[in-house]
Amino acid sequence: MLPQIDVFGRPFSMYAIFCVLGIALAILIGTSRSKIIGIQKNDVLYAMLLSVVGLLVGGKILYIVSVIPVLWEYRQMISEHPAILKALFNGGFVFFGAVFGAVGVVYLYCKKYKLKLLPMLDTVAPGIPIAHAFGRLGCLSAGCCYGCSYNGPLALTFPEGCAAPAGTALFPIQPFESVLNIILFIALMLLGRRKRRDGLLFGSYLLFYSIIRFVLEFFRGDAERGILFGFSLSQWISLLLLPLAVYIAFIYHPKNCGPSDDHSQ
Amino acid sequence: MDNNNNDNQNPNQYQNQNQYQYQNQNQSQNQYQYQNQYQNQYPNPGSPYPVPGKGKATAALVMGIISVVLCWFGYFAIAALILAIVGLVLSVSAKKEMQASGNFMARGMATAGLVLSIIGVSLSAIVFISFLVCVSSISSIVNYNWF
Repeated sequence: MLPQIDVFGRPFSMYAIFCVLGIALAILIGTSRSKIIGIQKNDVLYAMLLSVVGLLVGGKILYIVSVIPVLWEYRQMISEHPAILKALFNGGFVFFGAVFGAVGVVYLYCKKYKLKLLPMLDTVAPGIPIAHAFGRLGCLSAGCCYGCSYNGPLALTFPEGCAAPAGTALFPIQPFESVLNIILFIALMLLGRRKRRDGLLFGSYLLFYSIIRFVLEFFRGDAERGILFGFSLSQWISLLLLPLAVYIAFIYHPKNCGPSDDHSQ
Repeated sequence: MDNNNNDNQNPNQYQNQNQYQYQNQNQSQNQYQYQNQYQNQYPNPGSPYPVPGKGKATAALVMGIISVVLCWFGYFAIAALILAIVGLVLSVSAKKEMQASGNFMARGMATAGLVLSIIGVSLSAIVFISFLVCVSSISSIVNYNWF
């Protein structure tokens, strides 16, 4: 819709601006929740800032994994024109990869400074869907991650210059996913108003987002998402995450960790 | 009566003495604590003991400044992003070292490094991703530009 804006004659990607705004908001929400969980505000701030590194690296690695079939299919063309490879790697990020990368960095942070992982993830959890909601608005402005052909109400038609096919009515998947993420954020904030058992918030986020993502992937129209046996890479990850999410949210119960435990050092 | 008076007076005297002793003891303990705290926070200038986290804080500050400058120059934004990330890691590490040691002499430098690194990461990501789009762009690159 609006891939970039000009500020003093210099183009800036709306996708990147939305992503940065979303991450900033997530960090603010995470630090404001530190008191409820009982972790020091500084620890949450540092862990979330460092998790941005994991987010970038993880999102990019999974993106590269998702384009391996394309690289293989066009290997002959790529070997003749190496510039294509650069263009392919200049692509974006895959959300699940970003989540895994960020969680990995938070795990390393907690391990290094002897903090408990699940309370930290519970503190961070409501911030993830709000950052993602902003990210999807970025996708809407760039025209990427678009929906399938659709002629019903609220159909989107992208102009020339966006990543989506121009002039075709498409399912409004980006705003739809953004709204669902905001609903998930509100639900998690309500659930996390007081201290719950460790892992409930993060597990609930994983559970509900996996279901949402699995269903929404059927309405996606962008071809290159690493399709394997009829499901996309994100759908396979969603399926694998479901039992893990249920285990974290409802079954796993660490010893000596009551509701009043102080998790700060 | 005298004996009784003496008996009554003596405990008071002991109480006073004890109180005095405790006060002295407390005062000397407090003084010792304050001295230690003061020494930890503000070591003598030219002290041979290194200030915890100062090296990392300085490096973080330098990297933050360089990243904020570099991020405006097109593809140098990649270098700026990497420098800002390193600055972020170093400043967080410096702050944690200071927190652990109780010596906050380089706190200002570490905070400045952290803030500049955050600005560096944000700006360089925005400038760098100006060249990029999300995952589905791959199909448009493959279909429209190259084949």
